[in-house]
Amino acid sequence: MAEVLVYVDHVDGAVRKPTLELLTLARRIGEPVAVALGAGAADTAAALAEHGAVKVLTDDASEYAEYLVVPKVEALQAAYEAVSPAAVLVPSSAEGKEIAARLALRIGSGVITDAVDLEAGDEGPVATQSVFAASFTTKSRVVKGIPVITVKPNSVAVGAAPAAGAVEALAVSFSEMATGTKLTARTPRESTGRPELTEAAIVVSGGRGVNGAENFPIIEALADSLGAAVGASRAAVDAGWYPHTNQVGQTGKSVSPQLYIANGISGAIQHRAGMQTSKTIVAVNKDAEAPIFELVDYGVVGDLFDVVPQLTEEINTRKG
Amino acid sequence: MSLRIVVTVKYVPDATGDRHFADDLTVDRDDVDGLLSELDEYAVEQALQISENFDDDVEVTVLTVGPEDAKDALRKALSMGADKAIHVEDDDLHGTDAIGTSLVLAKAIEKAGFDLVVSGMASTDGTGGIVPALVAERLGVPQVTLLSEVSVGDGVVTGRRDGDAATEQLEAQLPALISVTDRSGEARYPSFKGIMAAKKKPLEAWDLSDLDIAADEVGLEGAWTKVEAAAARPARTAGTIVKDEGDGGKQLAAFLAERKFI
Amino acid sequence: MLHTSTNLTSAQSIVDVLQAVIEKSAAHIASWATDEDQTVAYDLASMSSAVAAAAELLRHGTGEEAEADLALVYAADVAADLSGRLTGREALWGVAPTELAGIADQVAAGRDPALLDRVAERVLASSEAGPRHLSEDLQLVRSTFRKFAEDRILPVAERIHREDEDIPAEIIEGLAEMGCFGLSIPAEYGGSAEGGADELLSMVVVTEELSQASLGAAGSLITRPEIIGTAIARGGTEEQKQRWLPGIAAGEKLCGVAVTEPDYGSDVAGVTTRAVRDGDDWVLTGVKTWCTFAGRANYLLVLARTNEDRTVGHRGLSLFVVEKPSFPGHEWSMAQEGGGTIEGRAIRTLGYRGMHSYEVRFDRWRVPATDLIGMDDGLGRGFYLQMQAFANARLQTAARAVGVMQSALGLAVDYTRERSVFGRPLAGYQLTRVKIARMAALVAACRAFAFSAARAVTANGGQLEASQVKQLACRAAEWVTREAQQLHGGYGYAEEYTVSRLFVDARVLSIFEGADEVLALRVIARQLTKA
Repeated sequence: MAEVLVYVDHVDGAVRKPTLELLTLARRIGEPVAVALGAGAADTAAALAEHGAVKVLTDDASEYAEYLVVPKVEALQAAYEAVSPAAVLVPSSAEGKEIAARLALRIGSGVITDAVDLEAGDEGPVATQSVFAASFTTKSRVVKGIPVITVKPNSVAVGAAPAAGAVEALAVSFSEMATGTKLTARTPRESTGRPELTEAAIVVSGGRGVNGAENFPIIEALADSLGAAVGASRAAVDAGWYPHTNQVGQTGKSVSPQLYIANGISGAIQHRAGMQTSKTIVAVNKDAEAPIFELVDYGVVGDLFDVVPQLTEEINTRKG
Repeated sequence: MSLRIVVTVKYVPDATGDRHFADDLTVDRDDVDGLLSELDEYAVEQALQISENFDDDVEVTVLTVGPEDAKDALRKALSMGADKAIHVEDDDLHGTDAIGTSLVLAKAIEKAGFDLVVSGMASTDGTGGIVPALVAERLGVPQVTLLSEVSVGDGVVTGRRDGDAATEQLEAQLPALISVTDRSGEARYPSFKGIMAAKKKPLEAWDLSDLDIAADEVGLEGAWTKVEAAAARPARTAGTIVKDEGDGGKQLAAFLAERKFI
Repeated sequence: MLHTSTNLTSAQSIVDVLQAVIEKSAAHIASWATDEDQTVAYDLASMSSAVAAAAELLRHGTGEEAEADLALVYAADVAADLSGRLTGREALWGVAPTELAGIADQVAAGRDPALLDRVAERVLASSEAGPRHLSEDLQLVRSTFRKFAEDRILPVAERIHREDEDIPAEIIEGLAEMGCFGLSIPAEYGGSAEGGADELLSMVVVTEELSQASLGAAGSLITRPEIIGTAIARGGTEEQKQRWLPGIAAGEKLCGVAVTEPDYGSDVAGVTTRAVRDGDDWVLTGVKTWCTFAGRANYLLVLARTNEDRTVGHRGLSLFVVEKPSFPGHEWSMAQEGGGTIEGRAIRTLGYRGMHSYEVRFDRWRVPATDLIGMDDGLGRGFYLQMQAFANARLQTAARAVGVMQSALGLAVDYTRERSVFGRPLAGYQLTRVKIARMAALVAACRAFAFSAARAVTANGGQLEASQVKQLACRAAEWVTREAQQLHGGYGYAEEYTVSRLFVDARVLSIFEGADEVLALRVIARQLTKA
């Protein structure tokens, strides 16, 4: 059976959820062979095996942490040459897309980015994309080389599928290009303990209606009651009320969780572009005419300072 | 030692306009007003700031690949302060994918001559965000992408990237390609003098033959990916809207429970 | 399309007949003293402005259907207006009642509610009166300032009006960086004026976009540098030009104008503020009023009587630039060693807030002789220097009015589409649609006329056209904002709704910068009857 390369996104051996989604999708078209790079690579094997990886190729060279992107491209290229896969799947992060694109060019393959679904087709894998602020869906195929596809988080439910997950060392020799961009310093951010925004199953966002950084704890409390990630509209971020890494929208992150709760967000296209494909959308806003209400499955016209705390309390009560 | 900067910009349909697909499944841009992609404004701005802070002469060239109207994007960049513009236009470019676009850009950048390429982080219409990386690959230069702060000096470009997990400092030797985010600094409004001066600045037009690119390397036919189908997403069915009369939060909780979120 | 060419022809016929009526009547009343026989003169002048606009709207278009419809709607409106004013006064006008009979069918076509409905449909879909036909450069100017207005001015416009605040420094700095204050200052002194064909058109476009966001906080900011810059450029010594113009062009030195007095507004030639020579100085004493932006201004243009002999009239007046610190707020004062003082107090007004308009009292204030514009050569030339800036200022005021009207039109379109009454959106009712169509036609006509007046002024003429378009656009803005407000129902009266601000802001337009009646009688009617 054909093999499919799956690029592993991990933090010191802890595999991130979108990679597991990729393994699930990979199984639709072949046998997943995972590629894990950098410190802790070998530690990813257990989780990857549980979700379908028949092999895990690893390399923990220091170059992956010291230099930007190209070492990873070269490793994936080495894996491609060793495995001759039917496809390569990469998680759709900013870096993932760059890796996928540069690899595709090197191996003479077409690349499809930000797929939200993948199916085996008669003439090769077909990727579904959501475009134009989610007003259109397209189905695309790679017509040259093998498909290199990046997939967005929350595209598929993760399925357990135990497989061998045999760990093999990947031999990579880096070219001069690999060391072009040096990482001279790295300051990790403090973790909030909340799920990562693009991967979370539930996102609770705050917008202009929150009216101040000091009021965002109300939004955070609701998020925490649901185990959700916190998002913010551009207006809130531009006003300095919440960090840019939490911005949802055209110039921020694009999310597609099971549940999106928008509080004090009008729903201008800037924002909609980033959350329109969420499965269930709920909004709380003072203004009955706010465009967000055109998108919702459920909406409350009211003051978020009344509604949100009440909702949070009700959720916590029901949880018991 | 002088510095040649090339800024790549894209002319995009206004996101608030009505975008849809044409019969050949390419994007139908005819009826929609276009503008310089907002994310590329930051690229132009940073190029201009680098130019203002550099010890020696800098020439900022702005480059776009696009139809006739794409000149408006160039004009805006020129009025912000870029020195010259290059417009690559060719009917055979219709339907070109990211891989093809990167070929055209790379050849145009090489022809123009460069020490630094500056690009925006993603186009506001495609959101692929891979063209800068592809161009760097083709040019064989280091890529330093997604910077919120950048400076150039002594043949080296350094910058800061504010990632989700960490803040990173990056460095590469010139020639290099960088991309900047919308956090890199507010883009200036063109001044009146800038708008007037833009008229006199050189704007060159190149086509595929000027770049030694064959028609079958680009366009719909030359694409390495193919869109097989496009369908408008069905409009969401209208949901339930209630007015808060003291128990809006509770009603919302009931909805979430019903949908099994709690 | 059949409609299109018929409508164009009809519009043209109407305009031709109306122009003939204006000419005939002008010749008829030429022998009158318009100062006494004001009634017909006023109406004639006002109608000449409207007819000229109708002609320009026709000339401005490319002949496509939307423009043909608009041109016909407006021309017919003007014909109906003229007809009304003529009724019962035909003999006074010197026009036979039958002179309009020949265009009765065309006027009927232009007033047909079905046509108005069709026009309204387009306006409701686009919020635009009609295509603007801007060149690429002007389009870039427009989009640049529109973006600035949306990003920086709109978010604070309401608050500035409601709280009667000062204009934020960021707005002034932003506009200064974009070169707005140097539009009419020659390039050699730091401005961008090179005598180019597009410069006045650019000023019109910029002024309209800024005024669309706020009349008081943005749209009017470049008028004063315009007036002062022109006076210095035309009448100043080389030293004065070098000293004053660059700072004005860079927006580093803000400008105010102190010409009007409590007892002398339209009849500026009679001002009483004295300037008495004492050694190397002139000593100013007097009271000026309606000095917009005088508090923040660094340079105050003061018209004062340097010749004690009042019988020489306006030839005894000179212009001074009084240099002062920039003061925030509504009240300010300054004192000199030697006892001279200037005190400024803002006059509370219904609208047009942001820049504040002050009463300014000069009490023995010493101004160096080097600050009299033109120095000795400038003695007695003050009135002329000041008048020369008028054509530009009137043009700008017309552009301000168009900006305010465009804002009102946009709000009316949005509101009537959303709001339902008796089960139907307001925009679905015939009366609403007729109003929207007429509003759009007015906006389009005034805009087209402003553009052509700008071209005329650029070509060293245009004095009459600038006065006409100012008069027309300002009255039009009153009606358009009133209707937009009325369409909003109760909300139109609420301070929270922008349209209520537009209504009060618009009301100043016919009062200032050339009061409506004075323009009509003393400038337009005089010009018409001379020709």
